[in-house]
Amino acid sequence: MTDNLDDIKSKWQSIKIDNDSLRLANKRLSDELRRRPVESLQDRLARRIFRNCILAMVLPLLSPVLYLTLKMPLWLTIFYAAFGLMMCGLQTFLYEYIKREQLTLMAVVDAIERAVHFKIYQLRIRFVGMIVGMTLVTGIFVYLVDADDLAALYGAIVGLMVGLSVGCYKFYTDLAISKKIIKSLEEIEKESEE
Amino acid sequence: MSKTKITDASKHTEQFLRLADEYKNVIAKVCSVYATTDTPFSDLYQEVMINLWTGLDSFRGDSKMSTWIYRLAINTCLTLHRYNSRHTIQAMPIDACFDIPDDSSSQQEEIKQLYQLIARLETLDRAIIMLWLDEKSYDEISAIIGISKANIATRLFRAKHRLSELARNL
Repeated sequence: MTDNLDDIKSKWQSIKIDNDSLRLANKRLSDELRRRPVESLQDRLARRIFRNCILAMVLPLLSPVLYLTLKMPLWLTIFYAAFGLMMCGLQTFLYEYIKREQLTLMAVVDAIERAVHFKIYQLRIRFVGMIVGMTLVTGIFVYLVDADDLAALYGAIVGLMVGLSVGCYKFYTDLAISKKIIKSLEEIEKESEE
Repeated sequence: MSKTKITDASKHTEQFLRLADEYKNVIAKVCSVYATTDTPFSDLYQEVMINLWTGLDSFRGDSKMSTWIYRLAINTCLTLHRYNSRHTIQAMPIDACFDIPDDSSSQQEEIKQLYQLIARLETLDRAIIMLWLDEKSYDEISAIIGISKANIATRLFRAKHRLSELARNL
């Protein structure tokens, strides 16, 4: 392989695409796209976030069951429901943000920047969720100890440990990657100003 | 479906096919540069086409159509990578979609190597070098990437140096 940039350029420009197979693929795709509604990548992501909103809404809907069947204290039941509503609200905000921003149509650097900010916002939601969720779980533990339900208590402890380890690991790795990207974007901006 | 809706749908399809045909080489090259074993060419190409289909009505003519298409293709590839949790930086073989001019295996091998070399550059540099290889002006590269022309010049200089170095050490 030559290291001469002019040769590399002419090599690049000499690449011929198999026009017939791509034309055929485009035609087949357009027929498919016409037949059924399609979602862009961003819409699919938004839908995933929307699923989280619905999931969070399950908590307030479950709270009367906890109060009436498991006889959980009223304050803990309200806390449980409020946690679900809070997570639902935060996820809805995220959902609206994704629906609003057309990342694929922006300049590349702007799109990367928005995507990273979105990721950081997502991580913050996860972090807040973990803190508030742990407080809630602690409350449930105290209640289970008082109620002498040891099987439920051990199950909750194991679940908490596993969930917490996975959550912390993912949080720190994702945050490190996001910070690295932000740093390189800031360097690009600094270079632009210079 | 009403008659107006059918006409609109046909117009949309017609416009999509015209653009897809006109820019298929550009899109295929962008997808090849960003293809990896976990996010193969076919996935990227299909995703760009879906975004072209869904985003067609958003084109307002504020920029050149080629600028719009390049942005759409590069951003779609980067977005798909971001949400593909297991992505690697290994380049994907692209034999399936490319017809090499003289059909000689050595040239085919060289083109594969060229894609692999570009794939070893940083994400943003990959896009800048690709636009330079396509003879885009600094103004257009700046509009697509979203950084100043001076910054493009600096990054392009470094990317070219790196590309040449990688080719030498191949």
